[in-house]
Amino acid sequence: MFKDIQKKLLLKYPLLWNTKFVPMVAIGLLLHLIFFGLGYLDGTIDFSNRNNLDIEVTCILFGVLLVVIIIILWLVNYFKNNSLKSFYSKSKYSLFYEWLQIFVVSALLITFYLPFSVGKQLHQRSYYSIEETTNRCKTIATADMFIDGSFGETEIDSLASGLIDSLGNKIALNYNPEDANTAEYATEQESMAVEAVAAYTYKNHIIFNGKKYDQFSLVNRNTFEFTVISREQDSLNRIQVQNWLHQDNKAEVKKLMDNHLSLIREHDLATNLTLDKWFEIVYKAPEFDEFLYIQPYLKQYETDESYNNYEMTSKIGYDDRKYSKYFVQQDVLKDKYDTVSEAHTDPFFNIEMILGFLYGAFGLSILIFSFRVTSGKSWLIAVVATGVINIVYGIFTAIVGVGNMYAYLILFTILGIIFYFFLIYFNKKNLQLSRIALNLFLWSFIGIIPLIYFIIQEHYASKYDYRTGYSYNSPEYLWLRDHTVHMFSLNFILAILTLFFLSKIIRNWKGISED
Amino acid sequence: MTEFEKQFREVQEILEFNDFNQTIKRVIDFTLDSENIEFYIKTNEFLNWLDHNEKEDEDKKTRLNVLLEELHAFLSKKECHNHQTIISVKNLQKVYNASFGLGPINLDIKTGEIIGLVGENGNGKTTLLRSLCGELHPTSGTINYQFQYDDLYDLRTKLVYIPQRTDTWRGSMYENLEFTASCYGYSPEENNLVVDLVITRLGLRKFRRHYWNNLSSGYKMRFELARMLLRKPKILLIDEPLANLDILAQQTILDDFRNIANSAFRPIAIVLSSQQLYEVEKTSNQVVFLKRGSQKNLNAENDVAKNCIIEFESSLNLSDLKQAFIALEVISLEQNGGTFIATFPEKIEMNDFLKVVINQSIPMTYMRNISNSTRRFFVN
Repeated sequence: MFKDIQKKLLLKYPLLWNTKFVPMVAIGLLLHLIFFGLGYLDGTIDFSNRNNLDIEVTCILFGVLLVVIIIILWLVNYFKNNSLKSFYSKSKYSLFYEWLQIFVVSALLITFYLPFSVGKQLHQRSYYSIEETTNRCKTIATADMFIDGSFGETEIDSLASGLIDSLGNKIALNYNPEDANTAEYATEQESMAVEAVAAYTYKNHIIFNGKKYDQFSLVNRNTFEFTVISREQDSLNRIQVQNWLHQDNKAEVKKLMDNHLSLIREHDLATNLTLDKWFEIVYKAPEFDEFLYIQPYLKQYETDESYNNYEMTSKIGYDDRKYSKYFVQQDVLKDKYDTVSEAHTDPFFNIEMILGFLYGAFGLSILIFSFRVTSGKSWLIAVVATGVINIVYGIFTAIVGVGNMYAYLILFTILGIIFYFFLIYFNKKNLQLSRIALNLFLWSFIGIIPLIYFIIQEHYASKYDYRTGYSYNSPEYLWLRDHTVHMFSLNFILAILTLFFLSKIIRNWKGISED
Repeated sequence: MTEFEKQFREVQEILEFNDFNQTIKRVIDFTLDSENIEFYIKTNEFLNWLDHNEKEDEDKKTRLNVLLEELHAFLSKKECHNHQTIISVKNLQKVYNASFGLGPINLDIKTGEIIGLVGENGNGKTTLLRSLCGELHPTSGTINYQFQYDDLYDLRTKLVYIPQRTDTWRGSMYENLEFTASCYGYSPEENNLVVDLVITRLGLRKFRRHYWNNLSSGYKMRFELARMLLRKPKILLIDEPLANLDILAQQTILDDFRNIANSAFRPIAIVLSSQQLYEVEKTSNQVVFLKRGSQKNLNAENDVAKNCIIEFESSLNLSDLKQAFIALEVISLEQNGGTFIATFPEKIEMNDFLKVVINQSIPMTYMRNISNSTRRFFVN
């Protein structure tokens, strides 16, 4: 079939035939399909945690190897014919179309990870609908209060911390801006303030609905967070359980525990708990401070994550916890549902990743295109020149010790190379070194805007205010920093537009005498 | 009688003498001249039939006659192309470095003409060819291309230069030619028909599925020519096309050049460099001799020497020969290898020389009047 298509293309669209566009797009799509399948496979979640499948790294390494081989084979076939080198009749923008085809093929080949990640995420999403996932996550998150975990932070004791006096008046901080005339002084003051906050005294109890509970009471337990549940909903869910405890609503607590145990049974996870036993050892109304901890795992470290990543905020030491002989594989449940939850809430693609792949494909396509329109020899010289220029500028910048010097040097070198190329182009006498210059031009023009952008950004980076003694980032810097993605997106579009006009210039440049 | 009518009569005569090979080549030329897909199909059908009926002479002749008549009827209505100057070279000079400089060269190149560049090695033939095709920029002087072109690249597409050492073709020969034809606007329906005609025209029919490395250098040159024909050039510049060919192949390819250049409807100019003086002189309309980069034209105004110069080979020695030719007022007699070059006054003719040879029974194995050949420029 491909032979017939290629034959038809050869007779009707020689450029498409030459670039092997159709077979390469087919190979690219097949590659995407394979990696979608592999991703889907990798997205398998074994909720029982017995046969976990993790083939992501292997797949990526295999993909890279495969893509390298495909690219080599493609280029061998593509480079068999070069109508530009042979001075065959070509339309004005034919080179742009040729680059576009190279770009599409390059993009298809290097983005094999995207279908992998989509396949993986899609499979992870497919286990439960978002509503079902939310419900199950709510059960797991709230039941966590009755298993193990950290406690909520209590209020600062302002009087004990010296923030107010015994009359309730605010005590001013010992800081006088008039004295601050050096950055070191300001920094010192800042770190002192941080230390002061850390040294505050916290109350050892909380007040819930007018009732005082010990800070290590079950009522003050934290719930686990899932991305599928918003922070607001998280707080509401916690308050709901706190209310059940406060109101001594045994039925609801039992129902929650039962739901949780159902999940444990459904996923064939291990526990030696029964509903009654669990309730008995944990539910110690009315103060809820005499409860026993449930071991949240069968074996420690059976998931990648440690059990509670908020342990740091806990004021109770590990040894102070009274663990029962009971356990439940809550860690696995959390880990697996966390994956499903993230699969639902994470977008399939994000702009930074797409931009990264687009720039990668652009880079690869430009390397191939520049080789195609110049010559192998000049291409190699340009590679060496790029290396030498960067080393020399790097050393020079290190010696001079001015941070932005490197960016300035590179920017002016690029502009110099472009100027030289156009000088040769408009002179129309002979090519001289313009083949090498064209290679460097093509490789670097996409970097001009980002370079200027970052030079300007660095210019605004750190403003020092002598009046307050503070170093601060200017609004211009913050604006530039926040719009980096927009700049890269716009730069990409501009690069394609530039290439559109440049392709016509390259075609004419090719007509200039060699010597 | 138009140029086409003359050519048509020639082909009829060739066919009368049953020279099928030559006739078929000329029929293909006419077919390509027609630029008509119906004729492409008809001639290809004939060629396909011929592949299986090589021996059927009578049938072959009849079919060729029919085809020729049809082509004649069609082409008679088509307007012939007048030959016109397409390139004017004025005082062209190209200095590489202090050691070598080409020119000044003055040359007018017309469509339908073959221009031979001759000269010793390293005297600027390739430099001139490369300058004409735009590969080298003149140090001074101008090359004026008198035809329409949009830009430098467009100009270079119309000036086809075949270097002595051509680049290797990758992939099958036929596919490469299809690609060329496709790039030059032949429709998908025409493409294979035209490619088949061109490769048959150049005697490559048996080799179309071959690969570059399986071909002899002579056939590689022919494939380059086939590709050139598909490119519809204004001018063809070929560096040493005869270098790797045997004497028969040299004559055939020069004959092909003659017919291709002199097409009544699609004439092109051909500039070729060669060391084969006599073969090139026979075919060329103009011969440019280059010596140390300088141009010498035969019978040009600056060519003041009008002596009769005869090149010959004899078993006699130099002094005996000088004695023998004293009656012809021999001006000089030089020996180079086994060949003698005798220079006589302008009034002496070849017949006078022959009379002396016969009368004095001078043993002679080879002789040639080179008074009007660039060969005499090689004489010291």
